[in-house]
Amino acid sequence: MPRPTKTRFDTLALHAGQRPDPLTGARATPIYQTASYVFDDSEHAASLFNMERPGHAYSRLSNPTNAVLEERIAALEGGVGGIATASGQAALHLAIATLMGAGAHIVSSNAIYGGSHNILQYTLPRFGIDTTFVSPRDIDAIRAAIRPETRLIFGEVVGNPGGDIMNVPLVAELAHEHGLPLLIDSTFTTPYLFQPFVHGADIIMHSATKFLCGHGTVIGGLLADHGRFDWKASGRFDTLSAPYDGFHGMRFDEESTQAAFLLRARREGLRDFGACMSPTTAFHILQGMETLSLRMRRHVENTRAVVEFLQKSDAVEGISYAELESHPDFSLAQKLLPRGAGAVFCFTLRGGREAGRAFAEGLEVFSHLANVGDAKSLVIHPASTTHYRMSDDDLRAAGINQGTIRLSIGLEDIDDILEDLSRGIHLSKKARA
Amino acid sequence: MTPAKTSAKTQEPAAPYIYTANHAPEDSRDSVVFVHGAAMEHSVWSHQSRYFAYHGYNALAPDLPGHGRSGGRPFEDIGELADWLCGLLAGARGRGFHLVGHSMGALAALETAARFKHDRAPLCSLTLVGFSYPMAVSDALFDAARERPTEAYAMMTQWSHASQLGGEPVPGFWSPGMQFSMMSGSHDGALLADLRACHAYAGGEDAFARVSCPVLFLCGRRDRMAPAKLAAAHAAKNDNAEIVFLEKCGHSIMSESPHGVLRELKRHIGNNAAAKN
Ligand SMILES: Cc1ncc(COP(=O)(O)O)c(C=O)c1O
Repeated sequence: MPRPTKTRFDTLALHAGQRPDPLTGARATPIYQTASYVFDDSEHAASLFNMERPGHAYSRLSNPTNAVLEERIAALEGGVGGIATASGQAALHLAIATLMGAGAHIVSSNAIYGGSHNILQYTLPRFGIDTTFVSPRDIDAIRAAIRPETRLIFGEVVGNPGGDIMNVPLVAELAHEHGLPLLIDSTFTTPYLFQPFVHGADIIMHSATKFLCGHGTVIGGLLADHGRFDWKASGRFDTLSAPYDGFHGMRFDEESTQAAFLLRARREGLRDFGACMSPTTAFHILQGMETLSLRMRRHVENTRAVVEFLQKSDAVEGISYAELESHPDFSLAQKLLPRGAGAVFCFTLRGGREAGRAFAEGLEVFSHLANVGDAKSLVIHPASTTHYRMSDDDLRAAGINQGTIRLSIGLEDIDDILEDLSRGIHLSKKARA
Repeated sequence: MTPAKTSAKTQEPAAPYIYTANHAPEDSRDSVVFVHGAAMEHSVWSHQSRYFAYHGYNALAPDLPGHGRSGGRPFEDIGELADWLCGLLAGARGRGFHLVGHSMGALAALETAARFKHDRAPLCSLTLVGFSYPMAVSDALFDAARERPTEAYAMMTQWSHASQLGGEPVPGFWSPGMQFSMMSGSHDGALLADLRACHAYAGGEDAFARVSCPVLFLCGRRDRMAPAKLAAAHAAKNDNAEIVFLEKCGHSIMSESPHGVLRELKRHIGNNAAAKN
């Protein structure tokens, strides 16, 4: 696949978007912890605000530290640019709010992060945006769900909690046949494991809180744009093709054919909704991204060892990891995710809720909490925590049951991880007895 | 302005698309005409054209035939392209014209300046950005453009940037990604036609002899696509020419050094505005 730069992934992860600071020579990306920027004169100020020339005016709109991160994610994903947001949730909201308004409709995979499900299912309908949820495996269902007012198809590469793999190339083709963009939440895979643009996606979002930052230190989100979707030809995206009163009648797709989405997301979405990233957060995420491929390799290596270990345990009823031949998406995962199906997966313990609770509470190396993608191993037992108030039927509808455990495998010594899991399994058996 | 439609019978381009930053051109203003390069379109000038439209000029950045939003087929000959641009100037408002061209667009701007007939409004200045003459195209690039265009877009994007690592002063954008995406969105066959036009152009010496307005050569010091020394040789021969080098820049100079390019355009065009002539 021809690429716009000869520079390879690991080098881009360390360097893209940053040159040593010209004033101080600082090698690391400086944290420009400033709200605003002094203008040369009034004319300079006016031209910055009017997009006549590039530059920084106010950190809600742009910031030099964030700009390095935005450029870096664009380089790693192979896009035209990026936008840093306050959280992954803010990134999803910004993408949607940039593309559509009341009356619009989204087709979404049903195997997505719970927070994404919340905004689509419960919150956006209040603002006139409805979503139809379909299985990411069922291309016919996706097609059937598309309506004249549909504006977006959304999904995750590796879904939650069953590890369902979305056939991104196929869904992208379908989306494009209908003049629709495909937005992929690439949080679990990162550009190291999967590059959605290469497979036809149009926009990518990340919860950078997870593997990109990699150390569980900050909350942040990112959007990246491939710059190929023809908003004008689609005819469905007035926000990008029609004159916008909020910016002197600008037609964003005329201003920049490739970057219309990012321009409007910044010039309207960041300006008005204001969910920008703090530059200190951007620094932490940049720091994490420097070692992305080293960490992801180790995350995957440890995960494979854990899966192998759990497979041998008589306390385990089933494992949803797409690298297992028993997984319905095994062959798709082999094709799309040759470097690994990630480091987050669910498995089911025998013995139901009590066994699950005892397991999660008994681990020591694993931290019992609601997050994934930390350098440290994490565990959660949904039936006794996040999904505690749900009935058995509702749990089943969410694809889990009383004994389901979600693990996010970290970078610890694999022997310590396995010893910890042995301890947990022992405790789960005792709780069962 | 109106998007173009191609008349299938004649293959003559209908009205081209021209970016004007939402300003209807006026007779009382100087008009700056921005001519894009091979497999590009108007928005390659977005860090410069919009500024002029808001600072007392008419800014006109056309999508050349067979490019961007303009229909028709791309010209394979710089002379034909120059005639087309002369036609555009003849129909355009403005009390004087300033031609600014990049790469293939610079060859076209040069030839247009040479062919331009002053009737209504004079040609006040010419700016050649990322210019070289001759503009020879390697067999490898021709082959790629013919057989594997995506590879050709990638090669040109790589050669066009002085640094492969980015860090350009345009917040939120990755310049190589922008160029690659722009080229990837170009019309089928546009790059090949454009490269043929560049390669075949042999009118440079004659054209320089016929250009009477002041010429600015704006060069990226590290331009590998259009080596600055080729521009320098022409600048040295031309009394009316000035050459400016932008350091650490390659061929994608408008995004690698948006401020430097804007500064030099403001100076050169401002110094040569019709009102001053
Ligand atoms: C796949 C996925 N997408 C989005 C989000 C939301 O990101 P954030 O928590 O940064 O808002 C998360 C968070 O858990 C996630 O796992």
